[in-house]
Amino acid sequence: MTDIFGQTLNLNYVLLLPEIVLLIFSMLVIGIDAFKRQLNISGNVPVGLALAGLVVALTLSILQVNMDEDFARLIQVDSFTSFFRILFIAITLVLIVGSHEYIEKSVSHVGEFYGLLLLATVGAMLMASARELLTAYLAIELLSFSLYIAVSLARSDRRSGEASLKYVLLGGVASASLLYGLSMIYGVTGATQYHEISAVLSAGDTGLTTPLLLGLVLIIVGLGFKASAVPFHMWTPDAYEGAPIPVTAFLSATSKAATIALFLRWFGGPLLPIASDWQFILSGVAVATMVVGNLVALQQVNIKRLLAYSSIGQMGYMLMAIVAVGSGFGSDATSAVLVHLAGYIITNLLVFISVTHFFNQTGQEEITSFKGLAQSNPYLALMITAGLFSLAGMPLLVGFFTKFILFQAVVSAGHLGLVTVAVVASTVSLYYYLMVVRQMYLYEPEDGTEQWRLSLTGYVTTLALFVSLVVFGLWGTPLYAAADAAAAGMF
Amino acid sequence: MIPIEYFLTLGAILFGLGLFGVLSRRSAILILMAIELMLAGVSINFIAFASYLDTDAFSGLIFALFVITVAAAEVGLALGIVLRLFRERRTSNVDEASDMRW
Amino acid sequence: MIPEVFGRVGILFTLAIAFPMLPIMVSFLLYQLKIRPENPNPIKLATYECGVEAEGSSWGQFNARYYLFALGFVIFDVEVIFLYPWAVEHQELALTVLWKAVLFIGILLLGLVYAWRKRALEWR
Repeated sequence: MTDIFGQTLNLNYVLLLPEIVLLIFSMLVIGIDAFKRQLNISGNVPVGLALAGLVVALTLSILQVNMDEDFARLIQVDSFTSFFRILFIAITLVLIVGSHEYIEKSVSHVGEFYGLLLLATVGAMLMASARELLTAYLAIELLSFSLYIAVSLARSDRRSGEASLKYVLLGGVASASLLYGLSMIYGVTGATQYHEISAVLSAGDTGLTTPLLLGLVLIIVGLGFKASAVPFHMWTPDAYEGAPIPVTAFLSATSKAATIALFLRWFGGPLLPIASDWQFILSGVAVATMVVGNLVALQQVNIKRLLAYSSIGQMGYMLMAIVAVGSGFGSDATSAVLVHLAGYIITNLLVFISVTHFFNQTGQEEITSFKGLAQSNPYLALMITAGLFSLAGMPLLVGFFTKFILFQAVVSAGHLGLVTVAVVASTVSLYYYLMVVRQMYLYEPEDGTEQWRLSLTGYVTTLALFVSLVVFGLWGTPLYAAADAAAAGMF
Repeated sequence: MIPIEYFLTLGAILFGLGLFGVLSRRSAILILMAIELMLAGVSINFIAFASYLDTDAFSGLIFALFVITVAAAEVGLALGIVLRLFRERRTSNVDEASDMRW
Repeated sequence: MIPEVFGRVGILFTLAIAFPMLPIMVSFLLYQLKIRPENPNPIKLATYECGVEAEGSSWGQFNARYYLFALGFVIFDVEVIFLYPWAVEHQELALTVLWKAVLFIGILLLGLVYAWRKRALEWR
């Protein structure tokens, strides 16, 4: 098959199999749910199908780890793509296994919910693998649209609709400005393929600095919104608080990681030749994000809002590393971002799944409701403590190792000022994580010391995440090797 | 031939009007309409660039097609959410959707 | 050069304005010349609304159900835009491209089936 220029297009659909499988399974889940009365099936079929699809897609992605091919000049399946594919599928898998009790109890439209999670995963995977602007844009919208709906699906919670409305309206404005920025880049370079844009921009001065700068600013606004960078973060705490807890976890893990993947693809690829134009903008955004995210977190009373601001702060550290990508340390900084991203996601999932099980038992999500958890459920208290300490970057846990690698990469790229801010912000963050730990360990439980246990899947997922938290904290080589291979695919 | 600046100015004006509408309106429906206006500005930009600079390829035109359809899907989705909110609170005013702050 | 391009648009614009204005002006002129009679009555003065009697103010709130139908319609309506490039070029394209268009419509049909199952097509 050739395109209109007579160039050969590689239409090897095998490359897209993981995405295709997930799409088919999401349609199946939604379809079977719509016909469930006629088919007379039990309630476990949707979750079983969703898990089956994820496992098949995971296997296919692992089989394609060593690929480096493009699909019809739209999608690039390289080691970077494989890293994110495996990461995103694993996140969804762990989330569904870890919180299916919550989903069945507190989410309306369960079948659609699983379908939407699969669709959002596909969107995130395509964001990491696109090699062309339009494909990347459609992937962003696939992820966002699925999440707009998923946020609104909390059962009998007035906050859910409000959260979703704020998310969808601000998200619409963000994608409009992102698109305007893309149109400027397209106008200056006349291309939508990453490598063509890169070629035009590195060929020298286009003589169109103003439109290029306008385009860059608008792209940073649009992507910054998706990454909840300050000052475009206003939707984050509300969406996090109103959404069902697994969706909050998904927002803080997959959605953020996919945006960072896109940042790396764009700012480490087509926009790299004009790094000097965007580096100072992104440095400002990164500093604001680290400072505001960590300071506002100090006065939160709801655990989901606390984690929202904490994830904003974490995004600041990663944006800082993207500034380092622009300084000619692309490969090192990229692998550092990937390592930190993986560590952050393991940690965040542990905290969120623990909070989900806490909510299943108590129906509370205020920080004060964690009083005396160390007595009523010492295991869960330990899990949450480990997760929060890892987020704060305490030694022996994965958070310390990944943060160390990240800060070191940024320092060696010559941005000592940024790292200073990051270290201070990181110290501040320890305070609000400790507030939660204090509630669990230093107070007596309010309603008796009655012991309670998690479900089997709850124990399995939290224990698996906890083990990887400790193992990668002590021996991070496999994580680092994987990230290094992924970064090598891009540069 | 009309210079491309005319089209770009039109696109910028539409985008700016839309942005102003988003910031100044209180009804969720009117905010959605303003977002549509912003996207219309984007489409005009893409079509102008495609027909002036990139005449032998269609990337810009295809981009505009996708912008139009994605915008329609977005409005459909957002109106669904507004409708849900309206059923819960009998209002489509975004100022009154303020259970959560800070 | 520019006046020429805008001139063509200008001609169309003038025609578009003239088309509705002309009958109104002719009617007014005939009245001024006492050729046309004037005997108004309530039925003659009523707003013409496709033959249905107009009721209430046009500023009233519409039933939210209309929106649901409009949404369904708009989404399917706009998706058809993707068939335009295909329709323009289909004579020069290979037969496989026909199947791709069929596949696309098939996916849209899946959406319609879903809407039907979820009773989005019923007035309730």
